[in-house]
Amino acid sequence: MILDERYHNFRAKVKDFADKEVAPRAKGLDQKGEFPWDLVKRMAELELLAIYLPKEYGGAGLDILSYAIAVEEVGRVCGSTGIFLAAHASLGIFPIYFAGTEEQKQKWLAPLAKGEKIGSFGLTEPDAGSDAAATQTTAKLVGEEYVVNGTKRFITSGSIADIIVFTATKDPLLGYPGISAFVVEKGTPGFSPGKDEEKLGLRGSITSELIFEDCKIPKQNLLGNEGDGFKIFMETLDGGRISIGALALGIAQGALDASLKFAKENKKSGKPLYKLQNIQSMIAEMATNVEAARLLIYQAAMLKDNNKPFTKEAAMAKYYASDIGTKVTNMAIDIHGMLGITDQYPVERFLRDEKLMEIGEGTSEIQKIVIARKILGK
Amino acid sequence: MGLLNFNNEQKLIQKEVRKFATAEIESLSSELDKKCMFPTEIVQKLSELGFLSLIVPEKYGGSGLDTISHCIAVEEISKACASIGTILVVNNCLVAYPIMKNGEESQKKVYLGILAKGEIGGYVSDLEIEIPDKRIEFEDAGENLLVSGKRDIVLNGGVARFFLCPISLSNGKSIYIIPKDTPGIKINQTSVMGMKTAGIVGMEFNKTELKKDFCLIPESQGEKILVEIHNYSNVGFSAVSLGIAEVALETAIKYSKERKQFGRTICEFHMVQEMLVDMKTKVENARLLVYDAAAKCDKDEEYSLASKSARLYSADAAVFCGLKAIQILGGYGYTKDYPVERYLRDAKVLQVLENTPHNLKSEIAKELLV
Repeated sequence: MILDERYHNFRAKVKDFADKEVAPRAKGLDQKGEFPWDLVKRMAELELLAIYLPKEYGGAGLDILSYAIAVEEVGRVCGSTGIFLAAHASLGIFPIYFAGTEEQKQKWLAPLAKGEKIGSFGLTEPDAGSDAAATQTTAKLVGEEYVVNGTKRFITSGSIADIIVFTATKDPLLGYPGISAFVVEKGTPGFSPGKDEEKLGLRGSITSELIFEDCKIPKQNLLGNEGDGFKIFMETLDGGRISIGALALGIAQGALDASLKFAKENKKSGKPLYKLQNIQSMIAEMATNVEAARLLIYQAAMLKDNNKPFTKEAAMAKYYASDIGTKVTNMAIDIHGMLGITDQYPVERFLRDEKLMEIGEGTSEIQKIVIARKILGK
Repeated sequence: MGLLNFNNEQKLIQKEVRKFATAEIESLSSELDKKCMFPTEIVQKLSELGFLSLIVPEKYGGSGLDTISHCIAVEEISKACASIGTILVVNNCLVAYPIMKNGEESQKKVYLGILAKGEIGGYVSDLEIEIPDKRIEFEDAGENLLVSGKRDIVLNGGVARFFLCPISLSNGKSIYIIPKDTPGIKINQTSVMGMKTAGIVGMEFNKTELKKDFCLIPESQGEKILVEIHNYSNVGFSAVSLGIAEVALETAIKYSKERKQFGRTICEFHMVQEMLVDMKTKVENARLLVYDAAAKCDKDEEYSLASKSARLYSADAAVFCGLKAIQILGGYGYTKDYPVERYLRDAKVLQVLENTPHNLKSEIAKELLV
């Protein structure tokens, strides 16, 4: 894809950081289930935590395409660091930027952009996954405060986050119109993180429960108006899907790169692996899939950058990239043979990390429904 | 009645093993996986029941069962814990079988006897990929062979009393028996994405002397015998894959009937149904291929192609079912609160153990085009 030179330069900068500083950490983060606090600090220094956010709010003042490129490049070497970045920028920062008042933006965005605070987004609940309107967490206005009760689950960076956007309903029976979006800050009485999940992959990222027990939230922490929650999270997820797609793409690219290296360095029965037609066939398929995913993701990002509708394109990009991502990482293990299942090579981690991309921020099934609705106009 | 027609003895084995696996294994497998622990107690019980030498003839103290019965037992156990299924396949197909096939009478008595007593045998996998820093060097030291180098995957290695080790020599491949206490071997930890409780380790040889007496299969016959070993173990491993695919499907069905979203159980949605249908079709196809290969083997018919097809297809079915089961369970499926993520990890390990899909395809093509 022909991109303006500034994107190439930006990619080179992120790639350099990813290769030199993130890649050496990836295996250890996965094995120890360790969160990379130092890398968060470095990403803040390199202005990678709020790439698309205007400078006036502390961001880098670039665009969504640059952001997608950054997530792709980080994800190429470490899915855990990539998902942290995507969750922080798309889910933590975006809803405040999108729906916040000037005062709210001034208060919360700069610390998030500078990495002084970690952002997160609490939408999913134990019984409200794909069906986000089934939110059971309630927020009742009592005087000048909302009293919140309920439990969120599978929240990326949940237990380490300082500023969390979350959704709650006036009344679970109301469905979408009852849902509002709020911000809760770490340490607010009645708000506590529950357990962190033990996961198949992305083990260097944190996924938590969030528990609200008569948690009192000031009225000023409401984002938009009461009942805007649905609109806010849909818009947030539309954008988030570009970043999850970019992450799926990055991991797939990492798996392809590892496979190329392996095929060039090693032999079978005296013949270099890359000369075998079955290896070439897999590599060609992987590369084509990766390139097609890249086009879809960059297209969705460019549409958003140009203020054009991008819901369908973001859903297609995320659906396709995660679908081929699982396929590509799976093939990468096959190319490595028995060594591919060991921790001596990164490809088994890539498959474990990649599988989440078909689930998080709307499963592939939900993406298909979004795409079908848009195409059918119904 | 369908094509599969187990006899009464086989049906009894299926019933008994299923009972054992459900009662003694199922509830422990997640914990064993998390702790990467070898299931010593379960293996002890299995060995008392004769599972570690299922196919070893009774005259050497084994259970003397046929290949179909072996597959039935492995399938049922793998549904509860694929690592344990793999331990059985390695012991029976990769260790006992080559000795039965090619051992001298004295070797059979000693080593089949060890297995029949319920001990574990290991198998030092040959990667068949030439990695520059992973070469195995050997030199002739008069009567014996001196070996140096590293192997990354040793199956059943952590607890084995002895190992079988294929080695590529100048004139072909040979298989040696290496007792555990042989000087110059060192067991290394190895980290594998799945089959965490199967005791998979690495091994280092440092001028390890392999005595000619311990040669099980000489260079002249190695290539041919290794093909036979792989044909036989393909059937065993494919039964493990079948077990994983089945249990992934069962777990997904159960969950989809309980989980409600959008006011109904998710099994009512077409997209979930489609995944379940694809899984089921693959499971049943795999079952037919696995038992077709096993039946041909038991009847002494040519089963090389059948065993490879069974392996290729069922390994793919298991990975597919693992991935789809995670998808149906969604966020829950990605966590260790449910077993489906383990099914995927185990299935993927199995898919490349001792062979890869693309190698199998090349081998199948060769047979088709003879």
